[in-house]
Amino acid sequence: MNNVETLLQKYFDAETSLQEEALLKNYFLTGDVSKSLEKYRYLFVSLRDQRKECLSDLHFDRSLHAKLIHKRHSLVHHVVLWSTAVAASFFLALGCVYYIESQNNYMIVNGQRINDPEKALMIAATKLHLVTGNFNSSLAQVEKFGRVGKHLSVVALFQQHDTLSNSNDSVTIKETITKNEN
Amino acid sequence: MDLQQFEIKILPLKNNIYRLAKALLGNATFAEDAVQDIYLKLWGQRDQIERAENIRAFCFQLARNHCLDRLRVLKRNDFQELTDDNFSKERSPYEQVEQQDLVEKVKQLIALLPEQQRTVIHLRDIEDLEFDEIAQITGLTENAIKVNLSRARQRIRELFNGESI
Repeated sequence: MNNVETLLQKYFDAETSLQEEALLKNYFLTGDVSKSLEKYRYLFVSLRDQRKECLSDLHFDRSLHAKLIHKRHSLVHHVVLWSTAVAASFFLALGCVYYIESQNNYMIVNGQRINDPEKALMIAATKLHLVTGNFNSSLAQVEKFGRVGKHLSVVALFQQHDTLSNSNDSVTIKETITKNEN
Repeated sequence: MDLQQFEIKILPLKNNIYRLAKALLGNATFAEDAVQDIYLKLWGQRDQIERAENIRAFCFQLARNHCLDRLRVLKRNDFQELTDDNFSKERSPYEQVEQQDLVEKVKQLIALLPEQQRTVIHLRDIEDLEFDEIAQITGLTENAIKVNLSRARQRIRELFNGESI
Protein backbone atom coordinates (compact mmCIF):
# COMPACT_ATOMS: atom_id res chain seq x y z
CA MET A 1 0.00 0.00 0.00
CA ASN A 2 1.91 2.94 -1.32
CA ASN A 3 -0.48 5.75 -0.55
CA VAL A 4 -0.98 4.82 3.10
CA GLU A 5 0.44 8.06 4.44
CA THR A 6 -1.87 10.11 2.24
CA LEU A 7 -4.81 7.96 3.23
CA LEU A 8 -3.86 8.26 6.88
CA GLN A 9 -3.79 12.03 6.57
CA LYS A 10 -7.24 11.92 4.94
CA TYR A 11 -8.38 9.68 7.82
CA PHE A 12 -7.26 12.19 10.45
CA ASP A 13 -9.00 14.94 8.49
CA ALA A 14 -12.21 12.84 8.42
CA GLU A 15 -12.21 12.81 4.64
CA THR A 16 -12.03 9.05 4.07
CA SER A 17 -14.91 6.82 2.99
CA LEU A 18 -15.79 3.61 4.83
CA GLN A 19 -14.05 1.62 2.08
CA GLU A 20 -10.83 3.61 2.48
CA GLU A 21 -11.00 3.22 6.24
CA ALA A 22 -11.42 -0.52 5.78
CA LEU A 23 -8.23 -0.52 3.70
CA LEU A 24 -6.37 1.31 6.45
CA LYS A 25 -7.65 -1.05 9.12
CA ASN A 26 -6.66 -4.01 7.03
CA TYR A 27 -3.20 -2.58 6.46
CA PHE A 28 -2.50 -1.83 10.11
CA LEU A 29 -3.96 -5.04 11.46
CA THR A 30 -2.69 -7.58 8.99
CA GLY A 31 -0.12 -5.93 6.74
CA ASP A 32 3.59 -5.33 7.05
CA VAL A 33 3.53 -1.88 8.64
CA SER A 34 6.43 0.47 7.95
CA LYS A 35 8.54 1.59 10.92
CA SER A 36 7.44 5.23 10.62
CA LEU A 37 3.79 4.28 10.87
CA GLU A 38 4.14 1.51 13.46
CA LYS A 39 2.89 3.73 16.26
CA TYR A 40 -0.49 4.10 14.57
CA ARG A 41 -0.94 0.35 14.68
CA TYR A 42 -2.02 0.73 18.32
CA LEU A 43 -4.84 2.99 17.27
CA PHE A 44 -6.37 0.42 14.94
CA VAL A 45 -5.71 -2.44 17.37
CA SER A 46 -7.50 -0.46 20.06
CA LEU A 47 -10.47 0.24 17.78
CA ARG A 48 -10.62 -3.46 16.86
CA ASP A 49 -10.56 -4.46 20.52
CA GLN A 50 -13.32 -2.04 21.35
CA ARG A 51 -15.37 -3.46 18.48
CA LYS A 52 -15.11 -6.90 20.11
CA GLU A 53 -16.52 -5.75 23.44
CA CYS A 54 -19.84 -7.31 24.28
CA LEU A 55 -22.30 -7.75 27.12
CA SER A 56 -20.94 -9.86 29.94
CA ASP A 57 -24.40 -11.08 30.86
CA LEU A 58 -24.66 -14.45 29.11
CA HIS A 59 -28.31 -14.74 30.06
CA PHE A 60 -29.24 -11.33 28.68
CA ASP A 61 -31.42 -12.76 25.89
CA ARG A 62 -33.27 -15.08 28.24
CA SER A 63 -33.83 -12.50 30.95
CA LEU A 64 -34.95 -9.91 28.40
CA HIS A 65 -37.28 -12.44 26.83
CA ALA A 66 -38.81 -13.15 30.25
CA LYS A 67 -39.19 -9.43 30.92
CA LEU A 68 -40.85 -8.78 27.57
CA ILE A 69 -43.20 -11.75 28.05
CA HIS A 70 -44.06 -10.42 31.49
CA LYS A 71 -44.58 -6.94 30.04
CA ARG A 72 -46.82 -8.31 27.30
CA HIS A 73 -48.77 -10.40 29.80
CA SER A 74 -49.08 -7.51 32.16
CA LEU A 75 -50.43 -5.47 29.24
CA VAL A 76 -53.03 -8.17 28.50
CA HIS A 77 -53.70 -8.43 32.22
CA HIS A 78 -54.22 -4.65 32.39
CA VAL A 79 -56.60 -4.72 29.43
CA VAL A 80 -58.63 -7.58 30.97
CA LEU A 81 -58.61 -5.87 34.34
CA TRP A 82 -59.79 -2.58 32.91
CA SER A 83 -62.48 -4.24 30.79
CA THR A 84 -63.76 -6.11 33.84
CA ALA A 85 -63.71 -2.92 35.90
CA VAL A 86 -65.64 -1.01 33.21
CA ALA A 87 -68.20 -3.82 32.87
CA ALA A 88 -68.58 -4.09 36.65
CA SER A 89 -69.03 -0.31 36.94
CA PHE A 90 -71.66 -0.39 34.19
CA PHE A 91 -73.69 -3.13 35.88
CA LEU A 92 -73.29 -1.44 39.25
CA ALA A 93 -74.58 1.83 37.80
CA LEU A 94 -77.44 -0.03 36.13
CA GLY A 95 -78.28 -1.71 39.47
CA CYS A 96 -78.24 1.65 41.24
CA VAL A 97 -80.58 3.20 38.68
CA TYR A 98 -82.94 0.22 38.92
CA TYR A 99 -82.88 0.40 42.73
CA ILE A 100 -83.59 4.14 42.76
CA GLU A 101 -86.39 3.68 40.24
CA SER A 102 -87.91 0.85 42.30
CA GLN A 103 -87.70 3.02 45.43
CA ASN A 104 -89.72 5.74 43.67
CA ASN A 105 -92.47 3.30 42.56
CA TYR A 106 -94.35 2.23 45.67
CA MET A 107 -97.79 2.44 47.29
CA ILE A 108 -98.87 2.67 50.88
CA VAL A 109 -101.70 0.41 52.08
CA ASN A 110 -102.88 0.80 55.65
CA GLY A 111 -99.63 2.62 56.45
CA GLN A 112 -97.58 -0.19 54.95
CA ARG A 113 -95.16 0.54 52.05
CA ILE A 114 -95.52 -1.89 49.13
CA ASN A 115 -92.63 -1.97 46.57
CA ASP A 116 -93.52 -5.24 44.83
CA PRO A 117 -95.47 -4.27 41.68
CA GLU A 118 -97.40 -7.59 41.48
CA LYS A 119 -98.48 -7.38 45.09
CA ALA A 120 -99.46 -3.75 44.58
CA LEU A 121 -101.50 -4.69 41.50
CA MET A 122 -103.36 -7.41 43.44
CA ILE A 123 -104.16 -5.02 46.28
CA ALA A 124 -105.24 -2.35 43.83
CA ALA A 125 -107.50 -4.81 41.98
CA THR A 126 -109.07 -5.97 45.26
CA LYS A 127 -109.65 -2.39 46.37
CA LEU A 128 -111.06 -1.47 43.01
CA HIS A 129 -113.41 -4.43 43.14
CA LEU A 130 -114.52 -3.34 46.61
CA VAL A 131 -115.07 0.22 45.41
CA THR A 132 -117.05 -1.01 42.41
CA GLY A 133 -119.26 -3.16 44.70
CA ASN A 134 -119.89 -0.25 47.05
CA PHE A 135 -120.57 2.04 44.14
CA ASN A 136 -123.15 -0.35 42.68
CA SER A 137 -125.00 -0.75 45.99
CA SER A 138 -124.90 3.02 46.48
CA LEU A 139 -126.26 3.49 43.00
CA ALA A 140 -129.17 1.14 43.82
CA GLN A 141 -129.97 3.24 46.91
CA VAL A 142 -129.87 6.40 44.86
CA GLU A 143 -132.26 4.88 42.31
CA LYS A 144 -134.70 4.04 45.14
CA PHE A 145 -134.57 7.63 46.28
CA GLY A 146 -135.16 8.65 42.69
CA ARG A 147 -138.35 6.62 42.43
CA VAL A 148 -139.67 8.03 45.72
CA GLY A 149 -138.86 11.46 44.42
CA LYS A 150 -140.82 10.87 41.24
CA HIS A 151 -143.87 9.71 43.21
CA LEU A 152 -143.59 12.73 45.45
CA SER A 153 -143.50 15.02 42.46
CA VAL A 154 -146.65 13.35 41.08
CA VAL A 155 -148.45 13.96 44.36
CA ALA A 156 -147.26 17.54 44.24
CA LEU A 157 -148.68 17.88 40.77
CA PHE A 158 -152.08 16.64 41.95
CA GLN A 159 -152.08 19.12 44.78
CA GLN A 160 -151.05 21.91 42.48
CA HIS A 161 -153.72 21.01 40.03
CA ASP A 162 -156.44 20.92 42.70
CA THR A 163 -155.41 24.20 44.13
CA LEU A 164 -155.06 26.22 40.95
CA SER A 165 -157.85 25.16 38.65
CA ASN A 166 -160.02 22.61 40.44
CA SER A 167 -160.37 21.13 37.02
CA ASN A 168 -160.36 17.34 36.79
CA ASP A 169 -158.70 16.09 33.69
CA SER A 170 -157.65 12.64 34.84
CA VAL A 171 -156.38 11.63 31.42
CA THR A 172 -153.86 14.46 31.30
CA ILE A 173 -152.70 13.69 34.85
CA LYS A 174 -152.25 10.03 34.05
CA GLU A 175 -150.20 10.93 31.01
CA THR A 176 -148.06 13.20 33.08
CA ILE A 177 -147.51 10.39 35.64
CA THR A 178 -146.59 7.97 32.91
CA LYS A 179 -144.09 10.47 31.44
CA ASN A 180 -142.50 11.08 34.83
CA GLU A 181 -142.19 7.36 35.51
CA ASN A 182 -140.43 6.87 32.18
CA MET B 1 -43.97 -6.30 15.36
CA ASP B 2 -44.43 -9.34 17.57
CA LEU B 3 -41.97 -10.67 20.12
CA GLN B 4 -40.39 -13.15 17.72
CA GLN B 5 -39.75 -10.49 15.06
CA PHE B 6 -38.44 -8.14 17.71
CA GLU B 7 -35.96 -10.73 18.90
CA ILE B 8 -34.85 -11.54 15.36
CA LYS B 9 -34.45 -7.94 14.19
CA ILE B 10 -33.51 -5.99 17.31
CA LEU B 11 -31.80 -8.38 19.71
CA PRO B 12 -28.70 -8.87 17.48
CA LEU B 13 -27.93 -5.18 18.06
CA LYS B 14 -27.49 -5.72 21.79
CA ASN B 15 -23.66 -5.60 21.72
CA ASN B 16 -23.62 -2.54 19.45
CA ILE B 17 -26.00 -0.81 21.84
CA TYR B 18 -23.94 -1.94 24.80
CA ARG B 19 -20.73 -0.52 23.28
CA LEU B 20 -22.41 2.81 22.55
CA ALA B 21 -23.81 2.92 26.07
CA LYS B 22 -20.41 2.13 27.50
CA ALA B 23 -18.73 4.78 25.36
CA LEU B 24 -21.24 7.38 26.51
CA LEU B 25 -21.57 6.37 30.14
CA GLY B 26 -17.94 5.34 30.57
CA ASN B 27 -18.81 2.44 32.80
CA ALA B 28 -19.55 -1.21 31.97
CA THR B 29 -22.02 -1.71 34.82
CA PHE B 30 -23.99 1.41 33.93
CA ALA B 31 -23.93 0.32 30.31
CA GLU B 32 -25.27 -3.17 31.07
CA ASP B 33 -28.11 -1.71 33.10
CA ALA B 34 -28.79 0.83 30.36
CA VAL B 35 -29.05 -1.87 27.68
CA GLN B 36 -31.89 -3.57 29.58
CA ASP B 37 -33.74 -0.28 29.90
CA ILE B 38 -33.07 0.61 26.27
CA TYR B 39 -34.50 -2.72 25.11
CA LEU B 40 -37.62 -2.23 27.20
CA LYS B 41 -38.02 1.22 25.63
CA LEU B 42 -37.46 -0.25 22.17
CA TRP B 43 -40.14 -2.85 22.87
CA GLY B 44 -42.49 -0.03 23.83
CA GLN B 45 -41.75 1.66 20.50
CA ARG B 46 -41.87 -1.48 18.32
CA ASP B 47 -44.57 0.01 16.08
CA GLN B 48 -42.32 2.97 15.32
CA ILE B 49 -39.38 0.63 14.68
CA GLU B 50 -41.42 -1.09 11.97
CA ARG B 51 -42.01 2.24 10.25
CA ALA B 52 -38.38 3.38 10.60
CA GLU B 53 -36.35 3.61 7.39
CA ASN B 54 -33.18 2.52 9.17
CA ILE B 55 -33.85 0.25 12.13
CA ARG B 56 -30.24 0.27 13.31
CA ALA B 57 -30.10 4.07 13.29
CA PHE B 58 -33.45 4.23 15.13
CA CYS B 59 -32.15 1.90 17.86
CA PHE B 60 -28.87 3.80 18.20
CA GLN B 61 -30.75 7.09 18.40
CA LEU B 62 -32.98 5.82 21.20
CA ALA B 63 -29.95 4.32 22.97
CA ARG B 64 -28.01 7.59 22.73
CA ASN B 65 -30.93 9.65 24.04
CA HIS B 66 -31.38 7.24 26.91
CA CYS B 67 -27.67 7.40 27.78
CA LEU B 68 -27.61 11.19 27.61
CA ASP B 69 -30.57 11.33 29.99
CA ARG B 70 -28.77 8.91 32.27
CA LEU B 71 -25.60 10.99 31.98
CA ARG B 72 -27.47 14.08 33.13
CA VAL B 73 -28.50 12.22 36.28
CA LEU B 74 -24.94 10.97 36.79
CA LYS B 75 -23.54 14.47 36.25
CA ARG B 76 -25.70 15.74 39.03
CA ASN B 77 -23.86 13.19 41.14
CA ASP B 78 -20.42 14.59 40.32
CA PHE B 79 -19.77 12.53 37.19
CA GLN B 80 -17.01 14.42 35.35
CA GLU B 81 -16.86 14.70 31.61
CA LEU B 82 -14.04 16.40 29.78
CA THR B 83 -15.23 19.32 27.70
CA ASP B 84 -13.51 21.04 24.79
CA ASP B 85 -12.33 23.85 27.07
CA ASN B 86 -10.78 21.86 29.86
CA PHE B 87 -9.38 19.24 27.50
CA SER B 88 -6.81 21.59 25.96
CA LYS B 89 -5.81 23.13 29.30
CA GLU B 90 -5.37 20.01 31.34
CA ARG B 91 -2.59 17.55 30.93
CA SER B 92 -4.19 15.15 33.35
CA PRO B 93 -6.08 13.02 30.82
CA TYR B 94 -2.79 12.00 29.31
CA GLU B 95 -1.09 11.69 32.65
CA GLN B 96 -3.89 9.50 33.92
CA VAL B 97 -3.25 6.96 31.21
CA GLU B 98 0.53 7.28 31.10
CA GLN B 99 1.22 3.99 32.82
CA GLN B 100 -0.87 1.95 30.45
CA ASP B 101 0.02 0.64 27.04
CA LEU B 102 -0.95 2.56 23.92
CA VAL B 103 -3.91 0.34 23.03
CA GLU B 104 -5.49 1.04 26.37
CA LYS B 105 -4.47 4.69 26.15
CA VAL B 106 -6.44 5.13 22.91
CA LYS B 107 -9.47 3.67 24.61
CA GLN B 108 -9.04 5.93 27.61
CA LEU B 109 -8.50 8.94 25.41
CA ILE B 110 -11.70 8.31 23.47
CA ALA B 111 -13.55 7.97 26.76
CA LEU B 112 -12.27 11.39 27.79
CA LEU B 113 -13.39 13.18 24.63
CA PRO B 114 -16.37 15.56 24.73
CA GLU B 115 -19.69 13.76 24.21
CA GLN B 116 -20.28 14.70 20.57
CA GLN B 117 -16.75 13.79 19.51
CA ARG B 118 -16.93 10.58 21.51
CA THR B 119 -20.25 9.58 19.97
CA VAL B 120 -19.16 10.41 16.44
CA ILE B 121 -15.82 8.60 16.61
CA HIS B 122 -17.50 5.62 18.23
CA LEU B 123 -20.21 5.36 15.59
CA ARG B 124 -17.72 5.81 12.75
CA ASP B 125 -14.59 3.96 13.87
CA ILE B 126 -16.13 1.22 15.99
CA GLU B 127 -19.59 0.70 14.50
CA ASP B 128 -18.59 1.60 10.92
CA LEU B 129 -21.66 3.73 10.22
CA GLU B 130 -22.08 6.03 7.22
CA PHE B 131 -22.24 9.78 7.82
CA ASP B 132 -25.96 9.93 7.00
CA GLU B 133 -26.70 7.31 9.65
CA ILE B 134 -24.62 9.20 12.21
CA ALA B 135 -26.51 12.35 11.25
CA GLN B 136 -29.80 10.57 11.87
CA ILE B 137 -28.64 9.33 15.27
CA THR B 138 -27.03 12.52 16.54
CA GLY B 139 -29.13 15.12 14.77
CA LEU B 140 -25.92 16.81 13.53
CA THR B 141 -25.24 17.83 9.94
CA GLU B 142 -22.73 15.78 7.96
CA ASN B 143 -20.36 18.75 8.03
CA ALA B 144 -20.59 19.03 11.81
CA ILE B 145 -20.01 15.30 12.08
CA LYS B 146 -16.83 15.57 9.99
CA VAL B 147 -15.58 18.47 12.12
CA ASN B 148 -16.18 16.49 15.33
CA LEU B 149 -14.63 13.36 13.87
CA SER B 150 -11.59 15.20 12.64
CA ARG B 151 -11.04 16.84 16.04
CA ALA B 152 -11.39 13.52 17.82
CA ARG B 153 -8.96 11.77 15.51
CA GLN B 154 -6.47 14.62 15.68
CA ARG B 155 -6.45 14.36 19.45
CA ILE B 156 -5.66 10.69 19.24
CA ARG B 157 -2.92 11.50 16.77
CA GLU B 158 -1.42 13.93 19.27
CA LEU B 159 -1.12 11.01 21.65
CA PHE B 160 0.99 9.10 19.12
CA ASN B 161 3.08 12.10 18.25
CA GLY B 162 4.08 12.21 21.88
CA GLU B 163 2.93 15.77 22.41
CA SER B 164 1.51 15.17 25.83
CA ILE B 165 2.78 11.77 26.88
